[in-house]
Amino acid sequence: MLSQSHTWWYTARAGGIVALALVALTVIGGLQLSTRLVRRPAPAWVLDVHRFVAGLSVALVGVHLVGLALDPFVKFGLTELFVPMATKYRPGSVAFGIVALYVLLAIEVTSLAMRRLPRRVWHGIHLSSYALFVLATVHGLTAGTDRHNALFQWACLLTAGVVLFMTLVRILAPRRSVARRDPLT
Amino acid sequence: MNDNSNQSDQAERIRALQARRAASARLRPTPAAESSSTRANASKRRPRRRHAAAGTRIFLAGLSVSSFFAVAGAIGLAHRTTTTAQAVTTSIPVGTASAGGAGATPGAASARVVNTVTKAS
Repeated sequence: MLSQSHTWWYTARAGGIVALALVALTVIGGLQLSTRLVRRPAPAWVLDVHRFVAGLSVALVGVHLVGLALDPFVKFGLTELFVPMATKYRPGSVAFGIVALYVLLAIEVTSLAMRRLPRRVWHGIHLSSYALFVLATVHGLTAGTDRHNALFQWACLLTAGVVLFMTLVRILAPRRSVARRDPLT
Repeated sequence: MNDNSNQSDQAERIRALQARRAASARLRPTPAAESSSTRANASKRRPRRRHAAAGTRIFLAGLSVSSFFAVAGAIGLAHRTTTTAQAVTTSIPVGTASAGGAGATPGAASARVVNTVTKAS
C-alpha cells in the first residue's frame, strides 16, 4: 500500500536524478567535441553519443514531469509544471527547473533542425547549454528531496568541477583551426 | 537579310542544344525517368549507413533505464526503512521524542522521522 501510493513520487525523483546525470554527460560530451581534450574517442563517435544522450535526457525529463503530475501527494498540475513561480512548494527552486526545461527543449529542437537554421542562430542557442547545466544543477540541489543526500551532493560537485575545467580549457586553449592555419606559432 | 540570318543562327543554336541534351540524356538517365523499382533495388544493394556509436547507444539506453530503476528502488528502500523507524518511534513514550509533524513532501516527512529517531536514540 505504501509503495503503491509513493510510486509516482519515486518515479519523479529517480527520473530527475537520472535526467540531471544525462544532461551533465551531454554537456561534457559537447565540451569534448569542441576542446578535443581527450584524443582517443573519434569525434564522430562522441557526436553520435552526444546527440543520443541529449535525446535520452529529454525522455527522462518527461518521466520526471509525468511522475510529478501523477503523484497524489505534491499535486502538481499543468500550471505548476510549466509556469515558473506558480507552485507553493519552493517556488524559486522549482522555477529553476522549469526554465531549464524550456532551455533544454530549445536546444534539442534547434539541434534537430540544425541544417535548416543559420549556423550562428544554432550556435547561439546551443551555448545556452551552459545555463541549462547550471539551472538544472541548482534545481536538483535546492528543490529535490534528495538535496540532503551526500552522494548526490558530491556527484553534483564532481560534474560541476569537470564542466568548469573543460569550459576553462575551451576558453583559454587556442582554437585548433587557428593553430592549423599558422603552424609556425 | 539580317533578320533572316539571325533567325537561322538561332535555329542552328537550338538544334545544337537539343542534340547535346539528347546525347547527355542517353549517357545518364534523369531521376524522373528512373523507375521506382530501380531506385528500390539500388537502396537494397547499398547497405544503410550505421551510426558511429550504435553499440554504445544501446549500452547507454540500458544503463539509463537500469539507473532509473536502481535509484527508484534505493529511494523506496530508504523510505521503507525510515517508515519502519517511525513505527519504532511511536512505541517510545511521549516526552522522549518530539513529533515530526506533517511534511511538505514524503521526503521531508522522512527527514523529520530520521531526526526524531536520532533524538530518541
